[in-house]
Amino acid sequence: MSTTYTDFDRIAEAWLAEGPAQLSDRVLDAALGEVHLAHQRRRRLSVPRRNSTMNKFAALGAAAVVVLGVVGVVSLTRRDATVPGTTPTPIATPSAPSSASPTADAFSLAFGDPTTWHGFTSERYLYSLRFPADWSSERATADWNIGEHQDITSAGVDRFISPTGSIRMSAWSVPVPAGKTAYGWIKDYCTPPPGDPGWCDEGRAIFEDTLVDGHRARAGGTGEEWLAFVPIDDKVFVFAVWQATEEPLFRAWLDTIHIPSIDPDTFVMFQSDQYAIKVGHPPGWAIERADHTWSMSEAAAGATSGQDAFIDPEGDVRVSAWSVPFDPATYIGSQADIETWVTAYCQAAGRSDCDTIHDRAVPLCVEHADCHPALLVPFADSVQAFFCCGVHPADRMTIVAVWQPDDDASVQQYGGGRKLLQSFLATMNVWPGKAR
Amino acid sequence: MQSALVERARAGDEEAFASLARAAGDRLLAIAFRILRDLGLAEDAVQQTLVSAWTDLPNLRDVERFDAWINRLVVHACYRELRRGRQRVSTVRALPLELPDRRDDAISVVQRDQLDRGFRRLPPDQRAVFVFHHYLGLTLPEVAEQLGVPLGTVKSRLHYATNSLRAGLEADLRSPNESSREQLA
Repeated sequence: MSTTYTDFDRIAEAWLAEGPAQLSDRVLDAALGEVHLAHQRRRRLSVPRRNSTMNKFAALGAAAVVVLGVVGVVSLTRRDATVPGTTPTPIATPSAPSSASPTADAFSLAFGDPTTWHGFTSERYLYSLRFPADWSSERATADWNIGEHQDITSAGVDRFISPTGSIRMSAWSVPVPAGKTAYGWIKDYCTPPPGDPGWCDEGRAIFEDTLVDGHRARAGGTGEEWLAFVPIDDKVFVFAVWQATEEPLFRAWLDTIHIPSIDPDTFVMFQSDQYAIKVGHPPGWAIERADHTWSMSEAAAGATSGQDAFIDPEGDVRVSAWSVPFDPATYIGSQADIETWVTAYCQAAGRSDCDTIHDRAVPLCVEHADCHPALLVPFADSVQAFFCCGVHPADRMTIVAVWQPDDDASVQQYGGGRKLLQSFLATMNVWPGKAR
Repeated sequence: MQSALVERARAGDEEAFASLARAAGDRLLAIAFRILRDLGLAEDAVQQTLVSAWTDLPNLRDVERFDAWINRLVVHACYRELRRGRQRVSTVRALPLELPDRRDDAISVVQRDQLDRGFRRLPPDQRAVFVFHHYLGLTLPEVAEQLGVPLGTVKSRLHYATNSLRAGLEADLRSPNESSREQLA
């Protein structure tokens, strides 16, 4: 027997007819939000003109330029205002000022060599950067909220201030609210409250795609300030220079920024001798192979030698992977089944927080398309993931654990324990998501 | 009506573009999902497509060709998504809570699985031709025109795609699953 073409047509077309029928508003809004910030290609890019709503700092800066230009005084060794003769250029070709150019000479005169700038690390917002050596800095003392988006002195941002206070820079990050994309958030940020003149909306802003510390970003001038938005995972990092004329400073500052992240594409694959596990780990990490088969009786011990383990170069972070066979009666077909198993595991470990696993558990998918159930569970001393089936053995639970709490200082360089765990899971075809 | 909107959007009218995007969004998602077989990736592809359409719209010479032009953009966005594949592993992106779909009882579970697996093995360009012909219902010359490739190439891609997918179903027939045999008889 063989299929006829007609049979095949009918089956294929019926199969193709299955699928989503409607684009969600979330995606459409995100796209239109990005469109709002983008410019059509035929437009010539240029720095937006300053307008009548120019803030006081900008006005003072402009006045300083005029005075300095007329008097011809350019012998200041340090200054806060605009460099005379500096012509801002679009962010479309971002680069640090070249030391050979007159602009760079003026830049160095004003701000010094960026390689000698002060280092600053934000534990609150998880980034590091440098700022001019004779400037001061003020750390954020509260989390930023969008109601403060036009307050350049907000306590919710890390602040960097020139000696005379005429130039300010700010940096912070904010979680993207559930149901919103990073670009949707940027659109919200740029949308003024009713009655306000607006600033990075209505065509006044020119944003370009660029890279900040290797991360894709949107950056540009609004006519009053320079802003960079760096979406990474579920956060947007924002870096602002509150002065329209300081594009060279803005560019040089962006080049100093480091936002820690971890890239599973660079991981080295490891094949377990003890378990049917293949998992990637960051290059340079030490490996401790399991020396025996783990059993549930070890659950209370946490990290044991019955697990394959990966230790970071500083020896501060330990990630383990292992698996354990199910009892014959165990059936795993849903995330609820995984949760039941994890609760038993938690109780065997003698933990006190087993009753709240359901509230803390984060759904994962083994394989994007098929989405076999999996769970990520934060514990007091660790973050662990549990999964089976699909590309992983169906007769046993595979467990990967970061033996540090999500917010432990040792894992902040990886974006937190959960982020580190997810990067390991990505090498095992386990992804954020929810079983369908 | 659409031509007027395209003209206005081409001149920089965001509202007009939003109307075009709303009108085309469902179709673009349908195409992207059929090519990518992943709703999250398809949504990403559509988002990229709409932004590309906006930025490149001034370069569209014939406003009457907007639909074909944006269809081609979404195909290229799908190619990019497939090339990137799972390199996007570091991105923490929640998958949709559920996949809205309608299931056709005329296809067995086994056939659906065979087609799905077979289709995922196809190269992106063969997937696109297959979807344009069998899902959008375009003739082969129309597919060639929309995708901007020669008719012979379209025929060849469809031939290989069809043979590959049929082979999967034939293999299923050789299995002892009588129900799926009946489906194809």
